[in-house]
Amino acid sequence: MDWQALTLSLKLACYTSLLLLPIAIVVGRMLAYGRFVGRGMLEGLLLLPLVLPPTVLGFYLLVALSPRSSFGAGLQAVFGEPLVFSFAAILLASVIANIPFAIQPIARSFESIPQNIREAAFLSGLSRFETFRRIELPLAWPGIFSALALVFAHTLGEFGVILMMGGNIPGSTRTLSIAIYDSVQSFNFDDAAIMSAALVAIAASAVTVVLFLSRRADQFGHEPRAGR
Amino acid sequence: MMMQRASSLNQTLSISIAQASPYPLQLEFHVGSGDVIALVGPSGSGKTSTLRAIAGLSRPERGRITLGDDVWFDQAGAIFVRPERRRVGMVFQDYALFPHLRVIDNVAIAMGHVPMDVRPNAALEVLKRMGIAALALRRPRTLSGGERQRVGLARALAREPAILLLDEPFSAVDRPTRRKLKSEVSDIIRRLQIPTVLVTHDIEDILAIATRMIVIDGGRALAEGEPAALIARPPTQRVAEIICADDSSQVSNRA
Repeated sequence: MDWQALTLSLKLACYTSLLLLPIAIVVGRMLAYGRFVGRGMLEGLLLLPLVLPPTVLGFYLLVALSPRSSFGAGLQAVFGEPLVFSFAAILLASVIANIPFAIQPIARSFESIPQNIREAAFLSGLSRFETFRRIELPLAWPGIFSALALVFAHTLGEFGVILMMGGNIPGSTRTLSIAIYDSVQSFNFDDAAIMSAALVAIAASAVTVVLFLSRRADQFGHEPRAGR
Repeated sequence: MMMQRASSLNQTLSISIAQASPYPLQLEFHVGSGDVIALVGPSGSGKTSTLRAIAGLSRPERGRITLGDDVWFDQAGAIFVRPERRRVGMVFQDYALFPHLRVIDNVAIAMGHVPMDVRPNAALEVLKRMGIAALALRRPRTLSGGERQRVGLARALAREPAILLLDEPFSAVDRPTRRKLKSEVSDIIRRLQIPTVLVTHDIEDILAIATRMIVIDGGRALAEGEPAALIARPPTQRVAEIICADDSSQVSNRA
């Protein structure tokens, strides 16, 4: 069992979720309510990581971030070292690969709030931000929890993009799924079996916990104190 | 009393709006304090568009909407006051209660003008006045249609609105409850003495609540007058058709 790889996988899943959720809430809400030019194109673009083979996504990211590209050179100037083959690189790759899993459920849950509920909030004197905070967000929690579960589980299982972007460096880019692949390559099936089972257990419990919370949120709603 | 603050202001709501889409509309009317104006017309005639324009939920192409000296909308002066700043109490046809909040919080959330610490008590006070204090800790999904509409009205009044807008307020409520609710609402409105606009299909609603009615067709006012007189003696054939059609269609919908 490669504990370092397990820790790294969990760290990657947590960071990806934390980075992606606020962005997904803002963008998902914009897709649900916004009426702007290019909205359809934006939504299509944000779905791309879902349909592209991970290796293709990884390839483009690798090329973009390599110090030989101007973007990559700029990043290197800022961070002082090349971004490829590092934890930052696989984190970026994983955030981009997970965009559809985060944004879609959140956009759908904002969309499902009836328009007249939001209008009633305005007419109760709530500003747009207060309406977002006290009405839309609590009603969108189930979708946000679903997004969290999907992103977390999907990041744990991410393979192609990470291999392309990060290689296989213990402690910085060697995640559990890559460690499994490595074990199999070297005919170490016992290790692969243990790590696979661990991945299944973690993913299943993460999804269960989050879906349980999501159902609670759906059933009882948010419980604010009276008058708040 | 809290609710009477607005009544002492004695303000007139003036509406003059025109637009080509989504529904053509060219209307001008005034609602004095204590006036309850019923807008009547076939669907697509522009009555809901008018209500939404007054509330600030939509923006007409041209015109002006004022309450006393406050200008809420003036296309020429590029003024558009957002709905949350208009002090409008609105009762929705399908209630539009906040599903995740308890009844008392549904009401308290509209009391931004009341200091936070006394808000729960003030909200309870409003519920008591509506006779629904017992429902305070329930959630909207557990309420009957009549109860939901009482909460909807309580929330609209909790804001101490300067005007009241009612969009088909009884049409989703079952028949036995409707009569009782109607007379309660009528009493409350009479006590409030603020400009009130009611959109409805139901002649009974109009006779119970409205002090005046405007018959609208294709976005224009065909007739305006005291309800009983207008219903008894429609000035034109078309007005008679609209009044009859509205009522009978509503009856067949209920059946």
